[in-house]
Amino acid sequence: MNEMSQLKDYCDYLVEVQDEFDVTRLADETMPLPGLIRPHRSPRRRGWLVALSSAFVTLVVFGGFVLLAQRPTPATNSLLGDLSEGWVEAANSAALGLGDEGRLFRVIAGGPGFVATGVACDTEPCVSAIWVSSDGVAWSRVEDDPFRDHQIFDITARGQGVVAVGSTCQFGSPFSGENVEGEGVSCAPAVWVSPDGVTWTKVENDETFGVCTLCDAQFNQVVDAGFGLVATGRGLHDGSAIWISSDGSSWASVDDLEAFDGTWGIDYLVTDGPRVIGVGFICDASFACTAATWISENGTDWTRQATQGLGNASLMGFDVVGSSGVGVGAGLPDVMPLAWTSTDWITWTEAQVEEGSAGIMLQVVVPGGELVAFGYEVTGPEANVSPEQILFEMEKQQAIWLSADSRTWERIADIPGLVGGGIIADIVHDDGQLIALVTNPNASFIDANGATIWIRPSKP
Amino acid sequence: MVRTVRDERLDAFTVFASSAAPRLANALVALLGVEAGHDATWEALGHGWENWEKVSVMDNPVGYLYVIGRNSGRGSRKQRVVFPDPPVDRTPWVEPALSSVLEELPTRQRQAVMLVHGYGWTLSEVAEVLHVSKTTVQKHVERGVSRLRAELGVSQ
Repeated sequence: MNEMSQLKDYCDYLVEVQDEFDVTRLADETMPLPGLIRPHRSPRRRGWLVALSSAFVTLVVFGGFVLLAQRPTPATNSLLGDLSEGWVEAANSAALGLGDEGRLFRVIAGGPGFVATGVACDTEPCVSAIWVSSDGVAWSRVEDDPFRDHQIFDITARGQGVVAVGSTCQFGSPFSGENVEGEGVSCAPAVWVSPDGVTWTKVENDETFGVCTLCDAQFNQVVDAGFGLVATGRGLHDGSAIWISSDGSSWASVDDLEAFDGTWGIDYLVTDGPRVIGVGFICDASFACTAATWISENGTDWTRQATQGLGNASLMGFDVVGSSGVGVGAGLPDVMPLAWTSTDWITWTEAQVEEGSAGIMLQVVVPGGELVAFGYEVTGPEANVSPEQILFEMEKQQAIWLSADSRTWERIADIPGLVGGGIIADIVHDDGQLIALVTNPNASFIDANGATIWIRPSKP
Repeated sequence: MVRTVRDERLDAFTVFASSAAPRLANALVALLGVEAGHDATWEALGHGWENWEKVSVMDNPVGYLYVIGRNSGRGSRKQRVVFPDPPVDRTPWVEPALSSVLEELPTRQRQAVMLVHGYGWTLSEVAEVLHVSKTTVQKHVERGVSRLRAELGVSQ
């Protein structure tokens, strides 16, 4: 008998032994009063007869009346309960000088306490900007001049200081929308350093990174690994680039190493403490691309291996849990939230994520023993909707997932009004405190609608 | 005997539940396992009874109550999804490992495979109750079947 016939027979059996749902019991007001506690059930598999007996006892003694009664408090983990409480709006778009179209996209623990970056559109044209806070509550914007006409894409803490990376552009603002080919903006990688997150200096890059015309080069990401800083992005030659630095001011390219032969790109950099890990892709001569992982313990010696287990998925965020990696994102092409775990950052195992609507897990943090993933879901997907439609056209709503073990994720119940109902663009935790950058509701994937910083202080 | 409004209400709800309850149970058992799925079904039916005036005029009442049951089952989701072993005396031709293989399937795949191939639902019926597209259901069915066969040791 084939497998599907076996499955059908098995399911017929499940129906056969299923209790009848005598719904008239729901209307029987002589049933026991509210507050009765359900019998505890062992989660382990038992003989069917024992399970049936337990269910029968429950239905006969308590039946559906418990449903009409005051519901027993559902089992919740501590973080679930905490997540619904204690959030405070720290700063809104007006206070931050974002303007109606500004956005925040990165926050880290560093500098005087916390450092955030985004794009401020309170003037024309928009400018990249940095905000700092000592407590996550009061935020101030640092002087814009070092960043004017340039663009910040990422920041990282380096000891007491902070490093920012992005692009430096000639012949106009990177926000002006001018075409880089043939006229207007030409951009090269750029780095800024600060001893405290407040005072910033742009690293003079002409000799370091080179000057280009008609190019669109940039650093997309930077991490501080145990041995130094690593930045990746797009080089002057239009290919991917990777640079290292011990101090943020002096940089050296390593993309001439064998591990960076051919056509490649690193989408995400993460550090597990002593090492830096890059997750991205490599492409053959026909531009067929496969997932790849790069690992280095010193910045000059790199290994590259094909990544396994990610399938046709898009990774959006990472965190480290013990010695393992946790990744979140979405499967393609149906854009369903997905999560993975890996003990070696090369072979990934897909986690079980609770059924839900199409959407994306954008970020994962581990504030204590449990994992929290933030992202969004789209409402009411129609049949045969393309990923582009899901991402760009459909209405998004905040979504939060929890996991106790990184292998199974549940979509927690909606918490109305949590952080204003907007989508969390980035979140950082520090000593039990959570700082969230929240894109205001009704923003589209392309057009921002301002942002708000929310804080949930740690428990006393 | 004089029939009250309550009697009329209960009659109408009972008619609804006679067809809705088994379908709800199918979907929630496939999602949560047997015990938790039954509990969630009762939760959903109770909610449906309490809110019958609202539920009775919905376009997709079973889909709505499925969400109620799914959400109520979240507390039990901290525990493993459990399916009983196939009874040897009743279904000796069913692979004993089937129940554990179902438990290990990704949730969406398990639900889709059980509803379509186990309970005989159409793709449209599954899509309507689970609030997803038919394409999505089909994809989960294909992946679930493939994985089921692989886990049960059958080459493609």
